[in-house]
Amino acid sequence: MSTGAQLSADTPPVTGAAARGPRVVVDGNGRPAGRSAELAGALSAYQDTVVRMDALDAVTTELVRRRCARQHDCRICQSLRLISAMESGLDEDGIQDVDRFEDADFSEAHKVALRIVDAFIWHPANVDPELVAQARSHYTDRQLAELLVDISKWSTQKIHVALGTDGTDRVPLGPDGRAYFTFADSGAVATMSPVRPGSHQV
Amino acid sequence: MQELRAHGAAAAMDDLDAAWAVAAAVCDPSLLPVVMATVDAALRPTGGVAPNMAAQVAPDVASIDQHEVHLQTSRAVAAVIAQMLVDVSNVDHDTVATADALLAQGVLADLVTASYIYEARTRLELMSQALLCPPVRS
Repeated sequence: MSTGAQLSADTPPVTGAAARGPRVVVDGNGRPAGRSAELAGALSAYQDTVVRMDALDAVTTELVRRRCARQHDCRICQSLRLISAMESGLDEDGIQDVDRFEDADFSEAHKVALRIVDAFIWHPANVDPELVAQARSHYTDRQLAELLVDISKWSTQKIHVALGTDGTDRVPLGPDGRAYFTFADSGAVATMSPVRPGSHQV
Repeated sequence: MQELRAHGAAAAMDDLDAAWAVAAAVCDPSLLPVVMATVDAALRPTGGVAPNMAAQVAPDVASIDQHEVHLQTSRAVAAVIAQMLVDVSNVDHDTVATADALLAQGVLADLVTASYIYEARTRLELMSQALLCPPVRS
């Protein structure tokens, strides 16, 4: 079982992912058959609203998204890259460094954001006062509010991981095993491509 | 979660509240309290159910436990939710399959979704109290 301790790039948190298949009957879109469309839609509306918030920069958002994906071992989310974050300077090394962020070449603000992710996931009722002080020295209240709902938005992946419906068979992966995506102004995913814009991948 | 509403997340909180209202309307009212109690026991320091949330669904957990037929299903659902809360990457296939087999198609997926919404609200409440409510802003 994961403990929430610092993860190591050499020992990824992936456990049963390779063998994980759908644990419930799925429909033609790979989603749980018979589920309430109204409930799924209501949760999607929440996610779209969170994406439309704009107090945090794209790189912070992508680092947070990546940490959630790794901690929860969501296969779809681990395969994705947010184009706006890459356009803002986050490269693949940076993405991979999220696993060992305390030792990585990240700003202190980004490290604090990732510590907040871990606290949210592993011990939300027992946040270290030192982390509280760090959070308040690096972020405004508005940014902290967005960071928290951001974590909860990305963590909706837990539903799919639990049900085993987080497989990448419907994700347009490129030869590097990744898909590159953007959001529309509505907050919904606008594009998802196997090729990173501006690259020469085919 | 007034702290989140006060700092730019009001629309998001409205949507999360709306999603919870849909969950309460869609999910089996005898199983939703099981989900809530499991989340509260895992995440809240005292393990108690948030009173304002409990009022939104009908029966309490104690009344459910009086019904033996329901008990098996309740335990199976609680087992899935408990694993999902502790370490979702290690949710056991058989645990999910057992619960799914006791329920109509789609019901477990809705309960897992409802559980996540309740979990998110709980984590947001705890974390916003920690990060946004310190007595003095330095």
